Amino acid sequence: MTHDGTALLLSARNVTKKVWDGRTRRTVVDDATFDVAAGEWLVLRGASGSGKTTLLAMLGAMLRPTTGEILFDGEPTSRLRDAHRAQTRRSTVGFVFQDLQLIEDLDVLGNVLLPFVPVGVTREHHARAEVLLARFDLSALASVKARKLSGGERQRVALARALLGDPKLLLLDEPTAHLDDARADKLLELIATIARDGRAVITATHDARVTTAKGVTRVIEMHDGRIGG
Amino acid sequence: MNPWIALQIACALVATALLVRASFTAFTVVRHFDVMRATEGQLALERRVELAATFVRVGAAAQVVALVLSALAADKLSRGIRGAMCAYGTFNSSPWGFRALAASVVAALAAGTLAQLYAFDARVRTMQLAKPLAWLTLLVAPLALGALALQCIFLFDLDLSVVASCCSVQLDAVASARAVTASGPRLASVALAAIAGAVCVILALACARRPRRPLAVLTGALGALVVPLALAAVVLEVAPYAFEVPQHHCPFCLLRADAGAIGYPLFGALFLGAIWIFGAGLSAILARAPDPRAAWASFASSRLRRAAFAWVLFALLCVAPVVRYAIVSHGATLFP
Repeated sequence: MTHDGTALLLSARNVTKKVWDGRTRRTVVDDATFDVAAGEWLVLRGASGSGKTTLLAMLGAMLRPTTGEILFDGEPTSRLRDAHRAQTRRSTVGFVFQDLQLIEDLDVLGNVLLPFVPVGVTREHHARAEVLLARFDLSALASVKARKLSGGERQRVALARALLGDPKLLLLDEPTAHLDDARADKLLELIATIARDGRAVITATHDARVTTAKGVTRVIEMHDGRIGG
Repeated sequence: MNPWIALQIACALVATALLVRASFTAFTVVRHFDVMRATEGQLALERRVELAATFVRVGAAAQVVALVLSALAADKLSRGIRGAMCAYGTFNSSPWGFRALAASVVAALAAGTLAQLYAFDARVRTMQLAKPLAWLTLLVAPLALGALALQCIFLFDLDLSVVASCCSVQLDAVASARAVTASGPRLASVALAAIAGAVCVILALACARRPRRPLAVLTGALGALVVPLALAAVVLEVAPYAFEVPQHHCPFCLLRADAGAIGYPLFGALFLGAIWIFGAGLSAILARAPDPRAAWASFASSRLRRAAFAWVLFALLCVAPVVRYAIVSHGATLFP
C-alpha cells in the first residue's frame, strides 16, 4: 500500500539502464526510484533523449534494467526470462507506442486483436474488442483498413488494442505527438477515464498539454536519465 | 550404403552436432553467466542459452531416434549376414557392435533426461538453472560424441560376408548351461522387477498427486534400479513366451516382425518412463532456489504421471505374450 492507502501496483527501485553504443557505455536511465499506485495517472516529462521512453519500456517489461529492480504487484519482473516476461506483459500491461505500430493492411478489429494472435484469439477477446470499439467510437470502422484512418482514429485504435487484455497498467509514449488541440483534448479525456477505472496510467511526453490535463495525479521530470522534480 | 545405416548415421550426426553446439554455449555459460546482471553481454548470452536449450531438446530427440534406427538397421542387416537371425547377430558380428549399442543407449538416456531438465527449466520464471544445466550439457555432449564414434567404428568394421552366430546359438546355450530358465533366477528376477516396478509406479502416482521433492528423488533412484531389473525380466520371461521356446532369451528377436515387433513399444515405454522418472527425480534435486521450486510441482506431477503410464503400458506389453501363450496352450506352462 502507498502512504495514502491506495494499492501499490508498480515499484521501480534504483533502476539503471546502460547501453553500449559501440564506443562508450552510456547511462540512459540513472537510478530511478518511484512507486505507482492503482488509479494513478503519472506523467514522465522530459526533452527528447532524456530516457523517458527507455524507462517506460522497462516499466512495461519490454527492456531489462542493467541494475535495479522493477516490482509489479510485488513481484520482481527484471530477472524474468523472455518467455515469462512476455506472458506477464501480455496479461498485465497495455502499451501504446509513439508510432502506434498498427498493421496498415489489417482492419481495425484485426489490429485490436493482434496482441492475442500468438496465444490464440478467443470469443471473449472478440467480445471485449467489440466493447472497446464501441467505447472509443470505432464500431463503424471495425472493418476499415488501418491505413485509411485519421490520426485521432489511429490513436484510439492503439488505445483499444492496449486495453484488450484488461491490463492493470497502461503505458503511453507521446500519445499526443501528432494530434491537434481538439483531438488531443478528446484523447486525454479518454485516458483520464481509463485511470478512473482503477488502472495505473503512465505517460511519457514532452507535451505540456498532457502534464496539465485533467486527471493527471503526478508529474515526474526527467533530465539526462535522472529523475527530479 | 544401406539406407537404414545412412539414416542412422545422419540422425546420430544431427544429434551430436546439436549437443556439441549446445556445449559451446554451455562452456560460455559456465564461465560468464551471472543471473543478477543485465549487461548487453549477459542479455546476448541469455538469448544463446534459450537457443542452446532448443538445440539440446531437438538433439535429444534425434539421439533417441538414432538409437531406434540403430536397432532397426541391425535388424534389417541381419538378413544380409549369414548365420544372423536378428539384430543380435549383427551386433555380435563385430567386437564393436555391443559397445556401440551400449554407448547409444547411455547417450540417448542421458540426452533424454537432460531434455527433461531443459523442459523443467523453461517453466522456471528466471534463469537460475542456467549454470547447473550447462554443466550437465558439458557432460552429455561427449557421450553423444562417443556414441557416434563407436557407431561409425562398428559400421565401418561391419563385414557382411562374415558368418555370424545366431542368438539361439549363443544366448540359448548360455541359458541352458546356467539353467536360468529354472525356477530360481528367472522367478526371482521377474518377481523383483514386478515388485520394484509396482512400488515405483505407486510412488510416482503418489508423488504426482502431491509432489514432494524427497519422494521424487526416491522415486527416481528406485526407477534407476527398476530399469535393469525390467530388462532382465524381459530377457528371462517375456522373450521365451513371445517365441514359445523356454530357452529363447534374445531381447533382439522381440524387434522382429514374427514377434509382432513388440520390442519397439516394449522398450520404448520402458525408455520413455525412465527418462520421465529420472527427469522428475533430478529436477527435484535442482529445484532448491525459490523460482525453480515454484515451477517444480507442476512439472514433476506431469512427468511422474507420464512415467507411471509408460511403465504400466510396459508391464501390460510384458504380460501380453504370457497371456497369449496361456490362451493358445490352454493353460499349459512353458517352463518345465
